[in-house]
Amino acid sequence: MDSRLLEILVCPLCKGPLDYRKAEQELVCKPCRLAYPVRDGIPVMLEDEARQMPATED
Amino acid sequence: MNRKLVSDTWQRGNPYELYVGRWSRVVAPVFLDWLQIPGGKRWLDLGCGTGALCAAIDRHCAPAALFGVEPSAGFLETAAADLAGRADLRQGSAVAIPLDDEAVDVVVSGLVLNFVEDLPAALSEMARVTADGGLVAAYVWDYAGRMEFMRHFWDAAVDLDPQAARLDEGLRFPGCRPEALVASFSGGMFGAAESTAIDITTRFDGFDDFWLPFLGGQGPAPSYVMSLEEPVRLRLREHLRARLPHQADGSISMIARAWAVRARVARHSPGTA
Repeated sequence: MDSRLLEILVCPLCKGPLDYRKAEQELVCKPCRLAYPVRDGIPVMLEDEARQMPATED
Repeated sequence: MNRKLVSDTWQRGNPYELYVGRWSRVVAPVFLDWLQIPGGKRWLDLGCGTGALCAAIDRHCAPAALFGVEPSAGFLETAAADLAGRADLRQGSAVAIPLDDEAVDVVVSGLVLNFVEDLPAALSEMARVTADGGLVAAYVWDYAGRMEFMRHFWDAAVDLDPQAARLDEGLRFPGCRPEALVASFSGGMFGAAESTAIDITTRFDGFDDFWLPFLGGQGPAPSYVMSLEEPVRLRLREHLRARLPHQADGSISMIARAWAVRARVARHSPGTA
């Protein structure tokens, strides 16, 4: 994903920045403990569709 | 009659395209002409659906960046195929837009605002992601007035089944009037709002061209049609056939009016110029 695009893409809940994890195809919001999936190249920025990250996951 | 089938569901691209998407595509460039935005701006199409407005922005407005946000994965699949990389698409909600503050110069939304459950929250999000002095604009069908093919549909449906009135978009979406739109776009982070009517001609080759899209099940009226038992559906079909303005060649031409609204974002932060 283009780094410039990533800069303006934020977590829909807290509006904070996201980490792009290419191997997992996920956009991670650490404060919200949510991993948003990227499906067929389209980031799915919906809370209901995000993976809740366990406390043990970095 | 199975009422559970009736909904505002918009999920699949092709039935939507036949029912109303083909007319939405005609409204989009007229709406963009009204906005008069110079090239090189960053755009967001909120509720981009199958991408009709995104395609028109790409074609007519020379955007520096173009984002499409849409909650339906099915619509996005169609949009991604049609737009082929000309817009950056994200699955997301109008009330929690996944873009940074002031990320774009123009936010537009076509035929969507009446389906948003919390309009003030969506408008607040639209203003948040727009740069100061940027424009937020939208259009919706004139369901209660001159969106004539839907108006004929509901008037015929209510004639036969008074219960259908509770599904009539003309009654359900009182916000789709110019004074209501201007009121929604007033105050908060918005400057003065203004509205205009956009009229297009919807021409159907014949009655089948008019009727078949109602059998696609996408959207309130088609969803209602498909909830009816076959004999009731046929009665509705014939009732509609009798009331439509047929031309000598069998074609049917009507007006479809959209109301458009626009306002600039004007933040008044204390201590800043």
